[in-house]
Amino acid sequence: MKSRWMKNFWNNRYLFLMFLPGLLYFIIFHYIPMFGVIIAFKDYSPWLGVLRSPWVGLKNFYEFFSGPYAWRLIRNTLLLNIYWLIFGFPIPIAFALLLNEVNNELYKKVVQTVTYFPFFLSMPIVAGLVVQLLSPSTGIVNILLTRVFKREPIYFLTRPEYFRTIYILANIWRSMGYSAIIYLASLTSIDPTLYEAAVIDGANRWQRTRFITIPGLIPTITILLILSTGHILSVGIDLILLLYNPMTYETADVIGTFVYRRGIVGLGGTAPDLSLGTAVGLFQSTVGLVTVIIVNNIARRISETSLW
Amino acid sequence: MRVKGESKLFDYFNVIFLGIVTFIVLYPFLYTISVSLSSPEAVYKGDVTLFPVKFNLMAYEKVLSSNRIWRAYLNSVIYTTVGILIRLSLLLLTSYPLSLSRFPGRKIFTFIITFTMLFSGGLVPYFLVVKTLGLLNTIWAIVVPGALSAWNILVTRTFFQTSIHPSLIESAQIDGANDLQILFRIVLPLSTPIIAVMTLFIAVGIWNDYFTPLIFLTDDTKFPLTIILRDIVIMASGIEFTGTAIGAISIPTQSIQAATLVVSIIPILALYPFVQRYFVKGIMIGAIKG
Repeated sequence: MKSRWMKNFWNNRYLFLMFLPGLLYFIIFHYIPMFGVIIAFKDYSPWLGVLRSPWVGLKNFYEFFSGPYAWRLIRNTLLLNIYWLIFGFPIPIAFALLLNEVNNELYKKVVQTVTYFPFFLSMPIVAGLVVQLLSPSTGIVNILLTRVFKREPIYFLTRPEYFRTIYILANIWRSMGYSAIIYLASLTSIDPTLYEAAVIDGANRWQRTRFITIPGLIPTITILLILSTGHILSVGIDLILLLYNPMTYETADVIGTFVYRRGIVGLGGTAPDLSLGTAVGLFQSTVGLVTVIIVNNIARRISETSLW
Repeated sequence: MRVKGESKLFDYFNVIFLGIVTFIVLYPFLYTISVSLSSPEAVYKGDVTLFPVKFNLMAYEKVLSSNRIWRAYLNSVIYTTVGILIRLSLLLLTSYPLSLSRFPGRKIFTFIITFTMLFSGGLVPYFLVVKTLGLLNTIWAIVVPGALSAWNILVTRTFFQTSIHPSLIESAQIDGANDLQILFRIVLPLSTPIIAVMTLFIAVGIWNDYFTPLIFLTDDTKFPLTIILRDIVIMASGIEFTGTAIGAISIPTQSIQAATLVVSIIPILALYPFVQRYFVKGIMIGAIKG
């Protein structure tokens, strides 16, 4: 038995050799950090290191949840995700369905090419464009406000009530064309004879969309929705870090940005609190894992599509 | 699908509506380009809405004479080139064994990789690992820690499984070729579509990466373009209150910020027709087979 295993290993030795660097990569940059979450239960000190720092049980979690920011951070993160699901998620689907109805291939191509472009820009460029448009004295939005509507200029990026709208709009602007391409790609796998049969049966355009195209998109939509529930407590923080400031923390500060400020940068020049940052991050990843498992099980029961 | 006799009304509305959407997506660029080409007074008075007012290239002269931007460009080019070499080699070497059913442990290894899509140790332990390895403030911190993504491995593995016929590999084995020879002589030459797609995914990923250099680099001379951009187009506008000075640019105005944005968008725009085609292909491979 043992010798057969050895022989099997030896026959595939070059495959193991190829795979080894990748395996090491995942161990070092993914599994060691997973093991490193034990410092969430310790009072981490850089001098003592991960293993020798003293255990403190749930103190870091207690500190976070009894602190003034936990509720605000969870609320802001959830709200950005919910607004994204309400607005950011369906808009590309509608956009793809409309694009799918365009008969002129050249026009379709132009629209797709233009709307896909913002996806290739880095977040600082996206944020820079937002700043250009919203600048209080010279940005186009305030020019319209003051000249056309005769209102006072608004300092949008210093006002918490506008942050979520700005964040969602900027992200829709950036990713709408990209997401639409994913949906259009899955539309190509719909059997064209279905449409021909529907036309013979007298189905009009809306009926064909409603009963063939949309059902054809459901598996892709389901998968993307399940995946996004895994991120229910995390949002892309790059754009937030670029656009928020202490004046807008009330709505803009999320769990991810908090972990970055407290766990990596440190408050006002003090050393970062690595244990607290790890605890909050662990809370975030655990909720994500649990939600994605639950949602996937529900999806498996009620539909035919699931991740596993 | 076109059906004779159906109302054209919807088509007209649809074409007009999509035209408006396209213009809205395009507008921030048009506006920024116009601001960058207008005289600072016109910008200051709020006269620029769509087209340049009192054409002026001063902002570009200032931006292009800034050493800081050129150095950042150079850094971004270096990080992207080195990153492509490392990440692509790792990706191909890791994905190929997983595509073969005779590879012992294939299932468990696939699970080990896929699980990282669902759970992570979080930012702080990840940061500590990079710090402990002594990578902080080096190019390796930019190219190595995010080198492999589970998604890319799964897509590449699926490509190998579906596009390379197993009989090709088997007959090479019978001829006495080992797995390294098979990979480099037979599999990779037949895999140029996926190699092109993945190279571009990797390149765009590194070029646009903002968060990695933000947390791992502290030395101003090592900053890539994304960090310098933040300093100029965000911080100079008074939105972030911490940060470094702007170097060669003395009076940051909206014109200079706009010109900086345009200068950083142009190379992406120049490569876009090429990149876009392969990206769409990549999404198709991922969406249909993944």
